[in-house]
Amino acid sequence: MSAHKTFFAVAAAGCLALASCAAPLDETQQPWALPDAVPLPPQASIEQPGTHPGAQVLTTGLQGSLRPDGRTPEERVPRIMERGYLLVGVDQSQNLLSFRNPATGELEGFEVELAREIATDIFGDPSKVDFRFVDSSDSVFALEAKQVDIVIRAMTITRERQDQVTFSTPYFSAQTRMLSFNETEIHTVEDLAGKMVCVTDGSTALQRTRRLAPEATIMKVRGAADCLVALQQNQADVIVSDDAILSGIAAQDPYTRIVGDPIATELYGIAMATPGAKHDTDGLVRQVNSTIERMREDGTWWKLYEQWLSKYQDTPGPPELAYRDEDNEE
Amino acid sequence: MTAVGSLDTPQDQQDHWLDSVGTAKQRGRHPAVSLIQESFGQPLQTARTTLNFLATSPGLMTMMTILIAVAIGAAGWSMAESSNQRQVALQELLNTTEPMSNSAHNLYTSLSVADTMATTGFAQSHEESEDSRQRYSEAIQKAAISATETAAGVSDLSTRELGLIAQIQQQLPVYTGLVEVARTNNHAGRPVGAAYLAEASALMRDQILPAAKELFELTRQAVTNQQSELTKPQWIPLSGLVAALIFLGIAQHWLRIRTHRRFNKGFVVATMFMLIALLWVSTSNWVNWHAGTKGFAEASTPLSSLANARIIAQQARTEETLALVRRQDLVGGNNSFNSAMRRIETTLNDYSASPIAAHNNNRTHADQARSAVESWKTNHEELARLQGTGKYDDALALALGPSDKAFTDFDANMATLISDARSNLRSYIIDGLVATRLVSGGVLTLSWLAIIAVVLGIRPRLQEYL
Repeated sequence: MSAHKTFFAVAAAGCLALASCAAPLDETQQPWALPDAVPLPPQASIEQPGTHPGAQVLTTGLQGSLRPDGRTPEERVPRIMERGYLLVGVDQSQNLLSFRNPATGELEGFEVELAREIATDIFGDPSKVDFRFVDSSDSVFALEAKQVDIVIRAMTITRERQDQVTFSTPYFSAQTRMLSFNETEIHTVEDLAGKMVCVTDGSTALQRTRRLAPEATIMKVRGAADCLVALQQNQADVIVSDDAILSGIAAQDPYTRIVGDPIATELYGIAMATPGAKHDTDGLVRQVNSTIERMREDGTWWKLYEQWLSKYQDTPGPPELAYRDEDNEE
Repeated sequence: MTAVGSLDTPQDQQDHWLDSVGTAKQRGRHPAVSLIQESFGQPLQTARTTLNFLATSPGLMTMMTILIAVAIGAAGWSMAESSNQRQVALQELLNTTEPMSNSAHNLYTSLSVADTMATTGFAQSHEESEDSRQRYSEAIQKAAISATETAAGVSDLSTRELGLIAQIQQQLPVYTGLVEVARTNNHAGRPVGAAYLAEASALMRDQILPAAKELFELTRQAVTNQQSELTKPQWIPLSGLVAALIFLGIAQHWLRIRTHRRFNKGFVVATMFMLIALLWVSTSNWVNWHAGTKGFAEASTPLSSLANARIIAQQARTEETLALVRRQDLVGGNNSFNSAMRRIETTLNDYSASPIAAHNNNRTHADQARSAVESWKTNHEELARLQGTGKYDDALALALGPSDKAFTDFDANMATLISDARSNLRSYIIDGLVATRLVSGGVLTLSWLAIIAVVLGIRPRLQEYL
C-alpha cells in the first residue's frame, strides 16, 4: 500500500514537472479566461510613470474678468432673451456640484443652483435653463460651437485656459487634495509613487500629479464619478482632485476620506466663449459677473454653500472679485 | 556500318553458347524456378482455362453479367452511402446547426434588449421603471439560457464560436453586477450610479454585443453553408447510376445480337429497377435543391435581414434614450437615427415584396412594423424639437411614453416575423429531409433486385450452352 502511495506521489510529481502530461487535468489552464473580467470606467486610459512631464499650471498673473456695467439684461444678452432660456453646460455626475438626483431625476447641486441664479437675474425665472452635459475635454468645443452659452463645470481659471475661453470672476475657491480609503497608507504626495492615481482627463489635477508624483501611474477618466468607480473596483488606489469634488465622492462612500495637505489652491470660473468677431459674449460675461457679485452681497453664496458643501469641507468664503482694468486697455 | 558488323558476329556466337547452356540448366531446374512454377503453375493453369472459357459465348456472358452486377452494386452502394450521409447531415442541420443559430440570434437580441431596458429604466422615475426592470430581468434570463443552448451546439472545443460564448459568459455576470451596483446606488440617492450604468453600457456595447453579433453571424453562415452543401445534386453517385444504366443497355444490345432474342426479361426488369432508382434519387435531389433555393430566398435571407433590422432598431432606441439621459443634442445623433430608420424601412419593403410576405399574417405584421416606425420617427422629430426649445421634461415624457410604445410595437412585430421566417426555414430543411429519407435503403434494395434480375435473366441463356 505504501508502495502504491509512493508510486502515485512520484507520478504526480512527474506530472507537475511535465506540463504536457498534466495539461488535460490542469484546472488553472483556462484558455478562454479573460485577463480582466471587470472593465475600467468607459474611455479610461492608463499613463505609465514618467511618460508625460506635466505642464506647469499657471494660476498667477491671470487676466481679470469684465466688470458688470449698468445695462439691463435685455441690452446685455438680447439673443438669449429672445431664445427664452439659458443653455448651460454642466458635469453630469459631480456630486454636490452638479448631479442628477436619482430619486427625482432632477439636476441639483451648487453649480446647478448657480446657473439658476444667473437665469433668475436674466429672466426673473430660475427654471429658464436648459442643462447640457459636457465632458471636460469638450467644454471648449461646446462653447465655440454655440451648443451652450456658459459652462459651469468646476473649471479652474488658468492662463492656458484663458487662451481658449473667457472666465467670469471666480465663484469658488477650492484646494487640490487626495482621497482614498480610510485605512490608506497614502498621506503625502511622496506616497503616490508606485500607486495608481485616478484623475479627470484634462484637469489641473492631472498636470499637478504628473509634476509632483512622476513615479505614480495615472489613470485618466472622464469625470470624478468614474474615479470613484475605479476606486471601488480596486483599479485605482487614490484620487487627486479638488476638495469640492472630493467632498462629493466622500459623501457617497463612507469607506473613503480626504487625506493629506492641500496640494494647491484652485479658483473656479464660469467659462464663456471669448468676445470677438465670432462671439458676441461681452454682455454675457458682464451679466454673469453681476450675478456672482449679487450672490456675494445678498448671502445667496453662503446659503448655497451651507446647503451643499459645508458638511464636508471648510471654506475661506467667496473668492475676491477679479476684474481687469479696462480704462487702461487701448 | 563497320561498328554494327563487328558487334553482330560475337552476339551471334554468344547466342549459340547461351542456348546450349540454357537447355542444360532447364534440365537441372534451379530450386527458385521450381518454387515459382509450383506456386503459380496451378493458378496459371486455372487462369488459362478461365481465359479459354471466357473466349466462348457462355464465358463472355458470365463475364458481362459479373461486370454489370458489380457496376450496379457499386452505383447503388455509392448512392446509398451518399444519401445516408446527406440524411445524417440534414438531421444535424435541423437538430444542431439551425437551433444553435437560433439560440445565437436569441442571445444577441436579448442582450441588446437588456441594455435598452437598463438605460430606459435609468431615465425613468421609480414607478415607471418597474416595467423596464421586468423586461430587463427577462432579457438577461433569456440571454443566459440562449448562451447555454448555443454552447451545446458546439462540437469542437477550440472553435471561435466557443471562444465567443466563453467571453459572453464571463462578461454577462460582470455586466449584470454593474447594473445592480448602479441600481443600488440610485436607490440610495448616490449619483455615482450613473457612472456605473455608463460602465455597464460601455461593456455591453463595446465588447459583449460585438461578440454576440459575430457569434450570430458565424452560426448563420454555418446554416447557409450546410444548406447549400446539402442542396447540391449528388453528381458522382448519380453518374454512377447513369453509367450502370448505360452498361445495362449495351449488354442488352450485345445479348440481342448473340442470342437473336429481342428482349431479355431479367435485363428489362433490372433496367426498370435502375430507372426507378435514378428517378427517385433525381426527384429527391430536385426537391432538396428546390427547398434549398426557395428556403434561401424565402426564409434564410429574410431571417438575417429582419434580425439585423431588429437589432438596429434596438440600438437606435438605446442611443435615443442615452442621448436624453446624457442631455446630449438629439440633432447631432439624428444622422445615425435617420440612417437606422432608412435601413429598417428598406428591410421591411424588401420583405413585403418577397413571397414570404404572403404567408400567414406576415404582410399585416410588416405593415404594423412599418407604421410603428413611422410613429417612432414622428416622435423622434418632436423629441428633437422639444429638446431644441429647452423643454427637457416634456422631451423625456415623450421618449418614455409614445416613443417607447412605438418601439415596443415595432419590436413585437419584428419578433413575430422573425419567428415565422425561422419556422419557414425549418420546414424547408424538413422537406429536404423527407425527400432524402428512405432513399438510401430504397436505392440499395433496388440495386440488389436489379442484380438478381440480371442473374435470373442470364441463367436460361447460359443453360442453353450446358
